[in-house]
Amino acid sequence: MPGITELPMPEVDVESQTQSTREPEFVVIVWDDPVNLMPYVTHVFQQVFGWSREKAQRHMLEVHEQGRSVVFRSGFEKAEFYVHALQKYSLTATLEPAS
Amino acid sequence: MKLLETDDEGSLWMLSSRERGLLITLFTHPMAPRQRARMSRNSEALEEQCQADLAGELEDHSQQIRAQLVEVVVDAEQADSADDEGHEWVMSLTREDGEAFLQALNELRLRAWEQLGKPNPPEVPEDLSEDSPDVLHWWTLGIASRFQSKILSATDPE
Repeated sequence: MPGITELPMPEVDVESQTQSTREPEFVVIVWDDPVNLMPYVTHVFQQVFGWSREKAQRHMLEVHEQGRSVVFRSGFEKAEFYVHALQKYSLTATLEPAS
Repeated sequence: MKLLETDDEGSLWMLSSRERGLLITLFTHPMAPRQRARMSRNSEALEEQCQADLAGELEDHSQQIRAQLVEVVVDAEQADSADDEGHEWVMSLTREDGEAFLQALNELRLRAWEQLGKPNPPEVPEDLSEDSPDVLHWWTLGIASRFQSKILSATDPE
């Protein structure tokens, strides 16, 4: 999935957790790489987040075409959990402070 | 490798003897460890905090699922039918096994790709010599991709 990495953060169409306190927010980003197959990335999004195929494909294409996709926004622990889950599937996923 | 049936519980697959042997080879062949996955690209503080939690977890997970899958493949039952390649085998995968299969195959692809120096695109060079040490990694990448695609196209049809 060749792509571009230096792009502004795309609009986030993700499950957002309501923060009842002022806990810092984090985003989970999946980055493009040339080796993960597109149907596999779609499958992983469906499995990890329970998304519909359509939503999973939309995020997969965002990764492919824009170089990255923000797939989750939450407090630290949940965001870290999802990064671990995505990395178990060998996707290039990172955790970043929400801007 | 052919999907025989699938439901919410799992799936049944027909394997040729050759495919069964290839899967056992893939899951048992020693491979170099994966390069450490970064947890954050923008924050070194986050990177350090998360790596402490992650230390060894991915490698342990990887070894565990490969060992689990070798058992699943070895436990495949011989089918009554036979084709030109010899015996056929019926492999039963729970849903969990199915996910482990995809994870393990992809992880092998990623390991091989890293060993090859992360070529982009990941295509076999035309001048690859037969005695190159890269042959094994290209073979792994190709075979694991083929199995992965078969499972995905059978379980997630367009």
